[in-house]
Amino acid sequence: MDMVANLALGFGVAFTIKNLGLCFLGCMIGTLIGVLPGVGPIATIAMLLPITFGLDPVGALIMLAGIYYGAQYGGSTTAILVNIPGEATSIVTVLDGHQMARNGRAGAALGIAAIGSFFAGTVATIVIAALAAPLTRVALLFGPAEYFSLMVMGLIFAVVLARGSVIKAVAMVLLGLTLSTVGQDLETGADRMTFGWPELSDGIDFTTIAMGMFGFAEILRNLESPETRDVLKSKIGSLLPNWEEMKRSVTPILRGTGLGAALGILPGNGAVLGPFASYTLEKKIAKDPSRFGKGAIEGVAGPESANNAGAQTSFIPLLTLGIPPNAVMALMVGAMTIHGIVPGPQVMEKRPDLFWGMIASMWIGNLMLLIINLPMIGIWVKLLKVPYRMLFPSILMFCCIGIYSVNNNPFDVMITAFFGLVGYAFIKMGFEVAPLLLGFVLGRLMEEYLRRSILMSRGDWSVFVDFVNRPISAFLIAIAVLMLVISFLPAITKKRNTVFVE
Amino acid sequence: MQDENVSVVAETRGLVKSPQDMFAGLFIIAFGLACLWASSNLSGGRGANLGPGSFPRGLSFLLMAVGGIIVFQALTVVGPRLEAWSIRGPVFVLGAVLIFAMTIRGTTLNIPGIGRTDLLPPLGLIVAGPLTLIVASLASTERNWTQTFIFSACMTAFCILLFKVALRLPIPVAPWAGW
Repeated sequence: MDMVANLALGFGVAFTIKNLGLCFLGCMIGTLIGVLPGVGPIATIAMLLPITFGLDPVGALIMLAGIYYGAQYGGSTTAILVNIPGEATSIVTVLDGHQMARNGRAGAALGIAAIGSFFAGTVATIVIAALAAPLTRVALLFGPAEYFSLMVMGLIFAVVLARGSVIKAVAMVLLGLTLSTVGQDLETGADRMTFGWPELSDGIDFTTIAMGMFGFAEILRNLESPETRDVLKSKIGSLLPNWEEMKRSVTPILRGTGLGAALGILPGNGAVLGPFASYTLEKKIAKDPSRFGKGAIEGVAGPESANNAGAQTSFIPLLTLGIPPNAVMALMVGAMTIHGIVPGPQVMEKRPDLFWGMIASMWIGNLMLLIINLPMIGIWVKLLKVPYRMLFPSILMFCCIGIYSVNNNPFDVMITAFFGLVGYAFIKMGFEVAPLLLGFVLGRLMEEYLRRSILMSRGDWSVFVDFVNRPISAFLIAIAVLMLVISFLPAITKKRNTVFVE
Repeated sequence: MQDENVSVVAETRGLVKSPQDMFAGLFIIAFGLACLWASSNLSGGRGANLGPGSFPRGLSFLLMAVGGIIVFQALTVVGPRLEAWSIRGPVFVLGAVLIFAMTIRGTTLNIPGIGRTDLLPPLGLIVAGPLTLIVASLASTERNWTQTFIFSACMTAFCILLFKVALRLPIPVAPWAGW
């Protein structure tokens, strides 16, 4: 019954005029930016981070969470109305969502995406509330060795889930880890790999890498291919799906929610897998699989629910263990740190108002998305018709102001331009950037835990795989190795490619 | 049947079967070497006490090993060619970003022998904004000057209203006029 009391506390915090307003504003701006083609949640949050600086920690996090859900939902809107997936997780939505739109059921597709997302969000909120306390207790059992092994496992997951070559993803993770060591050493204070540049001794700011490699590099890539945006010209139609469509969607929503919520908890960006898994499952168990790809509503309802459930449960590793499972959560860490909160098991005890207030606001955010987005679809459609030659300079401008405002430092803007070039080179070399970001985010923590573990074990490197004394750590490493081995098996490689091609 | 095709392609490509992977692998090896060199002055610690240099150096070796595997793959498995790089996009987009960075608060260079020299005075968002937007627009092949100018003026005004007036971020708008 603790859970009910805790949630009540949370709703008490979130249900103030100010926090409701911030949640609303966050959802709104998040959708506004997220709708723009080629701007995913990472770039959106990085861009909008500075506007939350002036708020109190609770308000700032509530607003950021709103921005996050808004950006996610904005991506789905773009996927359905234009044939462009805003980001990895809405790739699947494009398949049947856009076909539905072509068949004149755009409204129903948008409607079911919103309804499915809301249901998934509600369930995910309960899952978080229920799991948070027990998982926090588990976290207290973790020593440095367990944390290190958990992060190794998370990174391996990220590698396995990345698109394209596994070995190239490993290279990206290592590169990210290496970049994280730039700057002052935490223990000795020695400047590391700064090439004598004082600007680098604080380390590289995460927002500069994220914005450069995701925001700028993406613009460079888009500029290369001549624009083929076919924004829906026909009417959107009623946003309420008809009875037949509703009936078809019920079980996919339930299954998608379950899958997405479960995968989202995994460290290492399991949430990405949710929509794919849901789509594959729905197609496999459908009576008539040939309908998929031609506008089957199950192919929108399931993946969209999975997407939102995963987006939300991926807060769990962050809030309980203090380990961000993906780049978006890494930005949340950045935001929390700015407000003086170190994410981890202690947050729940020390700042219950913040912890439960944020969880409650997740549900409120989902409700707001449902309420504000449906009537505003018309505006989003107009926004989608803005030509890219005007869109990309504006995105660039917002990015510049955003990065500058993080530290009020023009040097950060230059570094971002540099990472934009690097990101462009990575695209040309066939590298996927997401694993690099995760490596970068976890790098400092990993090194710290590694050094502490080795110190505590008196130089014995077998501490991580010691099944007798450190069973949790050994178990995590075993899973990681198993995953890596499996991903190299030829049969799986083939299957993996088809999943991502589909 | 399929194997035959692959071998034909492989023959015409000579030693390197996947130029893209070859390039990628060599890049990773080079990066590893650079890190090894950059961390060579750091202490590796002793026994149980890992020093500041241990982690970066360990990563450098791993990077070089992984780079080696990618290169090996490039020599054995047929893969895509290296795509052509476009010049226009990177030059104008990243150029616009650099212009923003250099004009928003001015640029001061520290030239050895001469000392600190002001390259550009602080110009603020009111100048940096339109400059950034216009230069960025050059990256697109479509051109409409009137539209570009009107658009950059409106966009700059919008940014000033949003970030400076509404959100009160401490971004300089017109520092020469004290705003």
